Order: sequence, then C-alpha cells, then structure tokens
Amino acid sequence: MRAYWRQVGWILWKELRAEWRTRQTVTSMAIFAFLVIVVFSFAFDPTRDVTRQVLPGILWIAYLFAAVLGLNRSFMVERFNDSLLGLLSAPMDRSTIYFGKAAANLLFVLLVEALSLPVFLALYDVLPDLRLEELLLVLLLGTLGFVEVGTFLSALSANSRSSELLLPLLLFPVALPVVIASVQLTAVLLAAPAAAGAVAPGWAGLWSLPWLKVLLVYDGVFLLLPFLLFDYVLEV
Amino acid sequence: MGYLFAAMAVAWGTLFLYLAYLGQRQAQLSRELTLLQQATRDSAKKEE
Amino acid sequence: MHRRLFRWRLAVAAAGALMLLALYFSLVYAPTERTMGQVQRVFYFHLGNAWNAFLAFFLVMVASIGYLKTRSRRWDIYAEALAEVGVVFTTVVLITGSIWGRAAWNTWWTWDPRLTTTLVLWFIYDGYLALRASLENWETRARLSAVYGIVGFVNVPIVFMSIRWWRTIHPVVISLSGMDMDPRMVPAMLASLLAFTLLLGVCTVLRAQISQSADALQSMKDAFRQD
Repeated sequence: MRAYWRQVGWILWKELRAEWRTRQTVTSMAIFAFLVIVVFSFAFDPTRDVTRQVLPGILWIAYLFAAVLGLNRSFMVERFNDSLLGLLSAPMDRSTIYFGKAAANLLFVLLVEALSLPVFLALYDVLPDLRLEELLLVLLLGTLGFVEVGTFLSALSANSRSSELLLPLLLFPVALPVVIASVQLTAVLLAAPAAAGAVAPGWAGLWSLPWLKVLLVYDGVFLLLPFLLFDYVLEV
Repeated sequence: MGYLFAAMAVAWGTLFLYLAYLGQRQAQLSRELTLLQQATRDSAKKEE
Repeated sequence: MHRRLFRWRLAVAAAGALMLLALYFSLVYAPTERTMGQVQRVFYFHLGNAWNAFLAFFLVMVASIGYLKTRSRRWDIYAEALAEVGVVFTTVVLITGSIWGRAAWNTWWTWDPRLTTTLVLWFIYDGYLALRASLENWETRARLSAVYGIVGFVNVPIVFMSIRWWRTIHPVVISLSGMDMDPRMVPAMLASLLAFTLLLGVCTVLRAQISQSADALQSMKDAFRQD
C-alpha cells in the first residue's frame, strides 16, 4: 500500500517538474479564468444587484472552463516522444498514473483559483460578508470532483485525434452534479440574498442542505470508478 | 387535439424516418456485398 | 437459418400487432383525461419512448461490461446499436414531452427533474456517439466507449437526484401528480410499454445487422487485397 502511494507521488512529482519548466498550463488557465470573469462583467453590469445572483455561476463557469484547458493537455503532452509508452512500461500499477495526474491537475486548478479568487471578489465587491473557510472547502470539493472525472476522461479522449473537441462534450454532462452542487453552495456562502434566507449560519446550516453530501458522494464515486476502469483506458 | 396530432406525428415520423434510414444503409451494404461476391466468383472462374 | 428468420419475422409481427393494439387502447378505449383533455393520450407513447430510452442506455452499460469481460465484437456491436437507437428514442421523448408541456401547462419546457435528466442523458449519449465516431481502430473504439458507457450510466442517479434537489429549492411551478388514473387507462399503458420494448429490440437488431454487414464487407475487401 505504501509503495503504491509512493508511486503516485513519483508521478505527481514528474508532473509538477514538467509544469515548472514551462509554467505554461497554469499561466494560461489563470489568465483565461481572469478573462472569463472580465468578459462576464461586460455581459452583466457588475454594479447591479442582479450580479450578486449570477455571481456564483460566473465564478464556477470561469474555473471549470479554465480547468478544461489544462485537462485537455494532461494526457496530450504524453503523445510526443512516445512518453505514454514510457510511463506504461514503468513497473507500476496503471492506476497510479491516474491518481498522480489527477493530484497534479487538482493542484494546478486550485492554484489558479487561489490566484483569481481575490481578484474576483474584489472586482465584484463581495469582501465584507464573506465566509472564507466554508468557501474554501466548497472550492476544494467541487474542484476535486471535476478534476477526478476530467483527468479520467482526458485520458480517454487523448486516444482520439479530435480530443480537444471531444473532452468538453464528454465531460460537462457527466460533471453536471458538481456544477449544480458547487454553484448552490457558493450562492449560499456569497450570501446571494434569495438563497441564503432559509439557511442557518455556520457549518450546520451548510450541512442541512443536500449539496455537500452530493459533492462527497460524487467525489467518492469518481475516485472508485477510475480505480476500477483506468486499466482499460490505458491498454496498449 | 391539434397538439395530440402534432406529438403523434413527430414521434411516428421520427421513428419511421430512422427505420427507413436503417433500411437504406442495410440495402446499400447488401448491394455492395453481392457485387463483391459476384466479382470473386467471376475471377475464380477465369482462373479455372 | 430458417428458424432464425422465422423468429425474427415473428418478433416484427408481434411488435406491429402490439403497437396497433396500443394505438387502439390509448386513442379509443382509454377515457379522456379530465383536466388535460385529449392531449393526455400522448402520455402512453411518451411513456413508452421514455422507458425505451432508459432501458437502451442501461443495456449499453450491460453490453459495455460484457465487452470488457469477453472482448467479443458482438457486445460492442450491440452497445453501439443500443446507444444510437437510445438517442433516437430520447430525441422523440424530448420533442413529445415539449409539445405535451405546451398543451397541458402552456410552456414548451419546464426544468422538471425527469425532463432535465432526459436532456442530460441525451447529451451524454451524444458524447458517446461522438467518441465512437472519432476513433478509427475498432478495438480501441470498443474499449474506450465501453468505459464511457459504464461511467455515463453510473452517473445517472446522481444527476437525477441533484436536479431534483435543485428544483425543490427553486419554486416548483408544475407537478405531474395532478393526473388521476382511471382503471381503463392501464391497458393502454401496459400495451404501449410492451409494444415499445419489442420495438426497441427490433430497431437494435436492425442496427446491429448493419454493423455486421459492414464487418463482413470489410473482411471480404481485406481478403481481396491480399490476393
């Protein structure tokens, strides 16, 4: 068991080093997320009260679209120089490749979120009534679910020549529960007036909604499914 | 009543179109298959 | 061979006869619903289509598991056929559902959990077909689409539950529960469910035969080239 996690760690380390050389993925994702936020503020007047209600949706759309950019590359980069073959011939359990890559993608997307969240909150001026720890937990659980499925489907679509077209098509319908649950929770936390009214403050109030449970179940299911099925995806 | 008619028309229309489309694809494939079979038979005869 | 042909014709004939019976039961025998009127008669066929869509996608998962276990081309052909036929039925469900909604509730679309889940299913299996279309080697195609076929269906209950909770938080304007069932509506429902299940079988076999013929043609061409 410990050897297994050490192997996952090696894959993660390789991903981080490869990213550190160019820093291309994280930079592009961060700029794209920022761009989406700015484009949305032209689409919905940011000084209006209405913006408050669409805010959680904008936030998650920006993050998920940015995440797709990075996920698209996750397995595509292994195509050059037969790197994937090299990875596969390493004496390791195949699923460690999945978990290593998923962990790396999770870190990348979380980094992008950490960079753009302050800008986002400042631009839309929601700083005073912020419930930060809860928001961070929601961001973590939502991103985890999306990245788990995303990494898995990225490996799946990387076999196709039109994988950049294919991945969003495959990913968004399957990731729908994450989108719903994360946006709902974020709406409560950013105190979008309509949603927050009925919910008691603090963790108990948050837990009384179904959404944290949805996220936990989803994250669990999509940790298990790739573990069972990933070997089939990476067969030579 | 008009809506009932419209819904039924759409449902049956789509299904029949799909079945027709399947039939056409199957027919084309069978045509090609028989053509090839004939061609193989002819070439076998020539060799004799 | 003859026996198989006979059984096939029997199935087609049974499907046709049952469909006529279902038409009779739902258009003539069943009473007109009190609040919705004649439009409600669409319901029987709508139900049959919806049942077929879900059954087809469930069977895609079964065939996908079958493929990954046995690696036999047959399972893959059936998974493909079922997915395509399922998408056709789903399309019909969405359109008839929309028309019914317009007639009964005065709106073309409501974000009702069943309707919305069906829409998401439609997207998932469109993705499935797009994935298949983009892979050329049949073994890769079979293997990867089998994986997606399993993941897609396992996800359905989570999608359904989250959409349901989402709708209960927002105001629900419309509910289906207002419809009361007359006992004379039951045969219409059963007949169309049975007829549609048979129709699903017939369509699937037809679609699978196309792939089998294409395979036969391909192997003949390959043999030709080798000569």
